[in-house]
Amino acid sequence: MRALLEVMQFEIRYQLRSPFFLGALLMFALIHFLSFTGVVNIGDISNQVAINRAYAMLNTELALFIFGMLPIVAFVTTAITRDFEHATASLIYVTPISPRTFALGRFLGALSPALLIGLAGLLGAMIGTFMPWLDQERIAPFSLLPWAYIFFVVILPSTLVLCAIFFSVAALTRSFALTYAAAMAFFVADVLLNLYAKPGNDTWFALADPSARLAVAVETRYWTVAELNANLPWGLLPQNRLLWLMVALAALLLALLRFRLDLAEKAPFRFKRRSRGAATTQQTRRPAKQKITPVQSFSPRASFAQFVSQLKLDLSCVLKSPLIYIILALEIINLIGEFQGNVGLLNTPLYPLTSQMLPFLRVGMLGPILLVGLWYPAELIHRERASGIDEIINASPFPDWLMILSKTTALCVVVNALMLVAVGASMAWQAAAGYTNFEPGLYLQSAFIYNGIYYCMLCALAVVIQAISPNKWMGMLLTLGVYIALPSLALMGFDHALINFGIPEAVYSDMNGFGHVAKPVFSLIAYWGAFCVLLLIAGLLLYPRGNYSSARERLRDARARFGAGVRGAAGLAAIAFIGVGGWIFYNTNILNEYLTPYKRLQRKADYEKAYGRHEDAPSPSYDSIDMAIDIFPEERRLESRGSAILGNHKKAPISEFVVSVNPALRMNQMAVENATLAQSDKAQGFYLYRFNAALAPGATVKMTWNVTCRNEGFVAADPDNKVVANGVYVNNIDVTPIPGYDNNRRITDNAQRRKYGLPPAPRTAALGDPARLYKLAFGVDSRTDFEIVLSTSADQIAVAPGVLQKEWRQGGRRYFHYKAEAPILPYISINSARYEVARDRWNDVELEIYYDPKHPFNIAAMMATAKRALEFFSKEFAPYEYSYLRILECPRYLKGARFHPGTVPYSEGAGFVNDLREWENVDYGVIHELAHMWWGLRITGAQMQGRQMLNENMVEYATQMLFREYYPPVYINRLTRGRLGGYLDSRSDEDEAELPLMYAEERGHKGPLALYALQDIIGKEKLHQALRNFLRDYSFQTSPCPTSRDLINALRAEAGPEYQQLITDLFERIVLYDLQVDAASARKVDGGYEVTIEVTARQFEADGRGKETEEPLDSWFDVAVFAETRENLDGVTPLYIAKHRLRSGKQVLTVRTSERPGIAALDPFHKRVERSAENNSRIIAAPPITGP
Amino acid sequence: MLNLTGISKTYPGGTQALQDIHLDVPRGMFGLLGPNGAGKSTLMRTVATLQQPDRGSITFNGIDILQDKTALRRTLGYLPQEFGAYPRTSALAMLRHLAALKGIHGSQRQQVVENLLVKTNLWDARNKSVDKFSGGMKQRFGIAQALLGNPTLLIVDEPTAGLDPAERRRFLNVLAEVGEETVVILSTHIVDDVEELCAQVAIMGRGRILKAGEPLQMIREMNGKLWARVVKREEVAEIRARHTVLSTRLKAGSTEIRALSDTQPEGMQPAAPELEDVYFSTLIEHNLKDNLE
Repeated sequence: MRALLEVMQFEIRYQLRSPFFLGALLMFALIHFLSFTGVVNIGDISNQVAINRAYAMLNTELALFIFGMLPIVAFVTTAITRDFEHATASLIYVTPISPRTFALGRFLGALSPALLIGLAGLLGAMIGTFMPWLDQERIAPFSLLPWAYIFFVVILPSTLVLCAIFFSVAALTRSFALTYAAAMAFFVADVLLNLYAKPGNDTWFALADPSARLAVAVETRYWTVAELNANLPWGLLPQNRLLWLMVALAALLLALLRFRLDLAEKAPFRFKRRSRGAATTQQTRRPAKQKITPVQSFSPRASFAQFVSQLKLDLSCVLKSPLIYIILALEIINLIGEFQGNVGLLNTPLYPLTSQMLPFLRVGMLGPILLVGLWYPAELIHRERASGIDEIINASPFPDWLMILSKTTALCVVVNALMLVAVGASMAWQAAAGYTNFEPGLYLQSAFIYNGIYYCMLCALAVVIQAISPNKWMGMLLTLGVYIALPSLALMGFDHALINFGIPEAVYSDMNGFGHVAKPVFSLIAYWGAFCVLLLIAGLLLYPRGNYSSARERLRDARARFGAGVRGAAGLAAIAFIGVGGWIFYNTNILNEYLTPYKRLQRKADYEKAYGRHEDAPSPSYDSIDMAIDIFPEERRLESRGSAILGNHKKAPISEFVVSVNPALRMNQMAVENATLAQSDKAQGFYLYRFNAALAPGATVKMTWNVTCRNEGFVAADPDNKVVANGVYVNNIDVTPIPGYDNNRRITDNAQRRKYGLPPAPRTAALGDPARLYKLAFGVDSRTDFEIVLSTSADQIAVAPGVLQKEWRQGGRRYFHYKAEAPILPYISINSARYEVARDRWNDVELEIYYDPKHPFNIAAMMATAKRALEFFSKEFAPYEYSYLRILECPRYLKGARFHPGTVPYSEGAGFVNDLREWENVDYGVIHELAHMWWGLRITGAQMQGRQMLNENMVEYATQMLFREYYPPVYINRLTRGRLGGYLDSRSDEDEAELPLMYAEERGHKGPLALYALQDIIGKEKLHQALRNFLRDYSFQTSPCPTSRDLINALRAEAGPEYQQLITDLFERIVLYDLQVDAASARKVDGGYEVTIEVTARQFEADGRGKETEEPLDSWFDVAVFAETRENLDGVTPLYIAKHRLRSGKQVLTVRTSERPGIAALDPFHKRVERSAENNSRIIAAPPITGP
Repeated sequence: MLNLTGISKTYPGGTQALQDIHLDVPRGMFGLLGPNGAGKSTLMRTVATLQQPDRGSITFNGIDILQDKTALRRTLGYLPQEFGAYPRTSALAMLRHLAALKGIHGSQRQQVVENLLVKTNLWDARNKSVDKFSGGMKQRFGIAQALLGNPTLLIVDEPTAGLDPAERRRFLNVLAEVGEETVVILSTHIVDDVEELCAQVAIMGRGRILKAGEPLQMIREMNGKLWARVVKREEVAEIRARHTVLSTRLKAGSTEIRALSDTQPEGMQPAAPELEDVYFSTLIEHNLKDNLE
């Protein structure tokens, strides 16, 4: 016992004195502090969750688990292998101490600093929560309980687990690299488990997750904000930790049993190495002794030979280490995970086009590369010293640049080899899917230029850090710090490319190639490349060659190395760095305007402060628009000019009004008849016109404009992805003046608003707010006549809403004249690209799909889907409004799809590359956007609470109904199940209090669910009759616009008296149910079986924060009996299904089936909102063989 | 050939490792004798360009070592006191690499490396990893690498420590062969190494050169001043009190005592001085060896 204490104390003292410990301590305290004060974002949680409550802490703590592994690996491996490194083994191992005592003492000695670091992190976090500048609304009153919980349930067990397991590996293998590999295995397991866990199968995953992240995620999945703030997870998380503690204990015991105090060459477990050479030794002839006078040569060519020799050895160091193969395996596993996770809307698999695979060279590879960058620079730079050959090597006559260049080159070779493997894996994946258009040139560009160079830079950075660090652990800690700090820079507001070390990911579009992102990327490669050369020169000067007794000596040596050649190289690199930097600065800050993220927000805040009072001021709105846009795609330029007749649609005269212009546009001319410009602010795009004589109700006035959208050079962040060489997509707000104050620029996050001195954002206007009934979006309160002439390059087609009047060529350009056949809402899309066009017709509607020739796969499916949707929606709702429907492919900068009058811009990354076979060749996106032609354009809900009832909610409902109408039930059931999960999930992310549907402010999953449940109970025909009535009354109505209340009233009018309460519960309150099958049995009767089901049912009302109160239940639910006993019943046809009226409490139901029943279930297809659906079904006890 | 002028080095913390060292080292074997901690290794490393002195200058054959390290390294062979090798790398591969670093390229490289392996009797072990070598093999590997490129300055730091007598003999023979045309600095605390090989010697202690010159000359100067006597153990203390005792040696059960004196001490016989006597007397002279022991 005394010996144990002695060993342990010695170890603790040893570790605590090391600079590594102090560094790690400070760093962990700092990371926690920064994370809790919101400077760095770790974990993503609702901003209603208090930062000093368990859930927020868990989020940060578990995310940092991975980083915590590095110091632990360092502590335990040094604790157990130090004696071999420092050759003290023979001294210690001969003392009469038992190996177990020795190992246990060392283990406890390594555990202590690890725990101290955990505590330091917690302390940093705690101090962080008291910082006065924090948003006080996110800080709950101080309580020790969550902190204690975090320490005892997370930090203490996790540290123990990691220490014990890594210690065992280190003790049994005596290898740093293998222990590091064990840490990586933890990391991979964590990533994979999180990737593959799906609701339903995830309990075991959650228990197995080494970081326990998944345990928390699963346990708190459907927790509301109130619960997240109030409760501690006492279920899966402690179970998971307990399980892992047992595993760790077992590992520790094994290590203690197997550990030997001896100097055997072989560790207890170690890779066996083939001993080469022994056999060949005798074969070669022994050369005769002779006198040779070798000629030494130190010419540049000879220096290169020296370099090659060193490079070979450095490369073989990496390639002979088992770790690199573990990293390789990790890379491939990681990539496959990414490939599999690459799905489109509704989890539809995507065709493995090369353009789809390229992003994985960044998201799938950055992790493995960072692991290489963390470990191998340490290994390579400190290799000579570690092996003891440093003095011999350093006294050899090689040029000073050789070592650092060799190490860096070795790393670059390894990095590029890993990239090559990634390319190979991607191609193999494509080939396995039967896709053979590999585009190797594109792969090579992306792998080696757009990504590889960046990865080499990250390694060069680590090399220099290691060259300067006194030892490899210190260097790794510093490298880790830098690797964490780099991506945090942008979050902290330093997002300018000139100070943000790295090459941003370049999006590749099949339509537009690397396009406009190529130039900035190449400039940054030159800029940061020159920077890396400078860094490497610094590394070369400071690379330790010999023994230094002081920093001054090292600097003196550095000065001596700073000879003419080095000076020249440094000078060139510096010139390149400054020159390219200047060129980038010229592009980003002189040709373009650069604002820091803070300044960007400041500008929005200034806009609101200065002009916000105009928001609700009455403004005339479009009666007609007659405009022309000349698109110069290659120049990324666009000229917009035209005139609009604005009418006063209000009841009072208007004396002045605001015109908003996108501040990025160049203003050539703008005028409003009979009005003078009273105030203007070009930087904000704010213009205030005052009428010479107030504009009377019903009177009109003409506005003319001429503006230019121009992209010169490139920008520092957020490039304009709309006006590009192939695949222009802009809407009228981007390129024309809009009457009215632009409230889209409002900062919506209240924490940000407080920071910029703005009052809390007004919540969405209350339902029925009279001021908002007469306004649609900013500047829009009416429909307008519309006419446009577009011109574009000779090889492109330009498209806008309206009927094509005329098309012609003139001056080497193509012209298109579109005119709306009836007034439309002024939401104008303008597209131009080198399109292929597919045409078809449905009744009188011209169907056109404008697509890129590389993406012909789904054109037929989209066309068929469009026809079916037109048919279904016309029948169920109202006739289609336009004589055309145009679906337009856009580069992947656009996510998903948009809708405009009769036009649907659709991203190349979405519907055009989906493998739709899983959805019977139906394209979800087309249905969705087409449904908007009714719900969003024909019906335009007022900008207030409940608007999405008339918009997204109806659209999603319509989509679901289309699936229900035409396709097997498995599709609609799959959709509904997803909706329910989505809704319940969203309740824990709720930033504000949840509102009932009729008042809801955002789109959500609950709307379609509620509408679906309603039609299920009252009947589709009744509900759709109500919708047709509503459309009859409100189509095209803009002043006043309809509201959710109008829709609910229409529903109530058709539903009948017995369903009024149901409508209230679904749309006007937050109601949840809890259904449970307590028992189910069956007996054989004449002509079938009689099934008796005992159920318990309850109903709760929840408040906005999720607090539930039970109330009496009286509603209709599906009761079903299935023959099969599968867990997922989405695609199964029940033997029996019918609505039963359930009331609170226990009740017994009796139903009959003709066939032998297997399972009884309540609401098996998830139509009603319920958090615990697991107990909704029960396998029916086998009926007795004999009848009654 | 090799000239050290006013070399001083103080480590942070105040240890004066080298104090105003002046030394002229001609062609041939040069022995650097001194007790542990005398500063020999610091001096060796300094000459081998691995450490910088605070003051002073070193030239070799016209090369200013402190300014033009590369020029010296091209002609330097260095065997440090302790060294290792890359793990999992054979002696042959290691030596080939070091040959490349020494600027030996092309077909010559293989020849040179094989020749040295034969010369140092490592041919049969050439495919073995150096970190698995025995002490003697490792030292031979060390000299093999130091001889790469036929250096004109060879620095060997404590090379014979830990070698068995046969290995030591073989090692010294190799050195002697080289020493005919090269400057060889042999640092050691084993006097016999120097006595057998070196035409010139310097004795170091506490960072200073205490004495330098030809060993034979030094021994000659001691003629007539060295006295010896075989005594019983009990008598040693008494004699120590009266005379400057250089050494006491056990010889077949009794103790031979050697003392320094200008006149013949009573009961002592004249003895033939050896380099070891010079070494001890020098240390005692500078209070570096406790007379009472």
